[in-house]
Amino acid sequence: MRQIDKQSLSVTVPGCGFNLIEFGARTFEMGFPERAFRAAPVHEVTLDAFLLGDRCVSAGDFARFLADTPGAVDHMMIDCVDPGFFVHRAAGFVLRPGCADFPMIQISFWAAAAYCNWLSDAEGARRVYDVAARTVDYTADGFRLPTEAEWEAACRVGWGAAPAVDPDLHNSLDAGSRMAAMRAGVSLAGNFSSAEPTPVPVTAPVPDAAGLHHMLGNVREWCQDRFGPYRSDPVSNPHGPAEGSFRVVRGGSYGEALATMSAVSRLAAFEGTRCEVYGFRVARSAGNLVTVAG
Amino acid sequence: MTSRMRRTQALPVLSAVPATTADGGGPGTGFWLGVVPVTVGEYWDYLCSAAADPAPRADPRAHGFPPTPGVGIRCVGGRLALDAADLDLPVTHVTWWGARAYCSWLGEQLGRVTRLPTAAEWEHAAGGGRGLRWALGDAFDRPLYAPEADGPRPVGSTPSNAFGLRDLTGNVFEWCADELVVDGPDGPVGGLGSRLLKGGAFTVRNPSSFENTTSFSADELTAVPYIGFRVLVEDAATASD
Repeated sequence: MRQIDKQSLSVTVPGCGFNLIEFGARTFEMGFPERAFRAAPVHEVTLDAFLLGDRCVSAGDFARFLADTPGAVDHMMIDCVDPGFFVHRAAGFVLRPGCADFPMIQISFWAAAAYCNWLSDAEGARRVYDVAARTVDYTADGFRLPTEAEWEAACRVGWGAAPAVDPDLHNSLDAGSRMAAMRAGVSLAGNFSSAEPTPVPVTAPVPDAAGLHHMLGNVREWCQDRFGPYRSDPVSNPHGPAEGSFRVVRGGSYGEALATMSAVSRLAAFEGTRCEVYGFRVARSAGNLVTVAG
Repeated sequence: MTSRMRRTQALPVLSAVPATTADGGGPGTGFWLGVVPVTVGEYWDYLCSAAADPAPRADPRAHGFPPTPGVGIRCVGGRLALDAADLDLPVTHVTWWGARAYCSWLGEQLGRVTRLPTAAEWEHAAGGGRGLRWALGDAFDRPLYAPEADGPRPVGSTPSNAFGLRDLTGNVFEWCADELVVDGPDGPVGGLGSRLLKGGAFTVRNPSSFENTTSFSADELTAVPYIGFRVLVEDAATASD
């Protein structure tokens, strides 16, 4: 059962540490004129309403999925070499102590997709992904990764298009002492070192104006789209090129300079990459919210 | 039912690694190192020789074989089964403790001190006496070391280096003796339950991940298809000096 708070438009997904924030349908100018962000040209994008996770999926969230569906994630989808929050022993995946609140990392695009399918199953929704066939059904009503247009639209609410500036609000290479004090390396969680930048928990002390946590910094976030160049024509609900094995990742990470992080900055990542700077948050089309309780 | 004993017991083939070499480096003492990582066939023979039962049993501290075929040994209902077509795969899903136990057993068979190499010994051996970046040179040959794969390939898929060793770069990571030590707020911290890994594996892509001087680490009880090990046999003549 899903509960909705109509005032904040926040949806709670049972058993998960995150809430879903609703973003209404909108038209906005996407991208940035400067080539350095790989986000030119600016172009008009129209989006239907969507829901976005207010924070990244945590290692604790992912642990419930792994325990519930042994075999859903294979060793090509998750990496268990240090540093990381999971180990794989004879009995299967094990969440390391003190790691539940940190973002789920070391997972490929398709491991994130498999998690979305698990949420869809739990909610009785149709799966968006066929993980074995590596295909996506955009007509399905289930959970999915955000498109990069959805991600950017949501991030612009909190941060506009300008680069991040406050070192204590974003976990970057330049993190201030208050942000750095929350890092995994401080407690050596996941065998991260305290001598290098490391992740902080998915929940920020203060969310942004849209209610989202750590959109800029902490971990790069897998988006739905394959990476491709922008065009100048207006588009509606874009979801990237039809071919290719590189996916958009957004938001920057603890390993990047503060000034490189913005709502418009884009990076491409091979979809099989399992790395300690890649995490994800979930999304869903709001038009699919047909069984809202209360 | 898998036939328990094979006709001859397979033991690792070793190659001599000299103490000091042209690069002036070296551990000061020569040693013998497995030409390739320990294979499924060798590990199976060890399991059978150590087991009193008709078939070896699961032992989560030493190994965690999957129920499905693909890596040479399967675990079904707490009993292990050999896939005879996969004898030449490097044995994987063996924990650091399981790798150590194999080394101890092999030492008894050989009458020599046998153990996992340290990361420094592994690097020395992989550098071939010339401090090479990867096992066979200073250029990363992706088709040779790291062709696209979703599981381990048979041992001996790459040529020998100057010390007669194969497969140091790529295929599966190899357990080393050293424990992980990380920088803590008040200095180096050990005792974290992880051990060093060398050589890269089919699961990684970045050439730097395969470099001889690069080390990774993993939890000591890790059982995955991308970590194996090779044995080091100490040089008896030198050791008795």
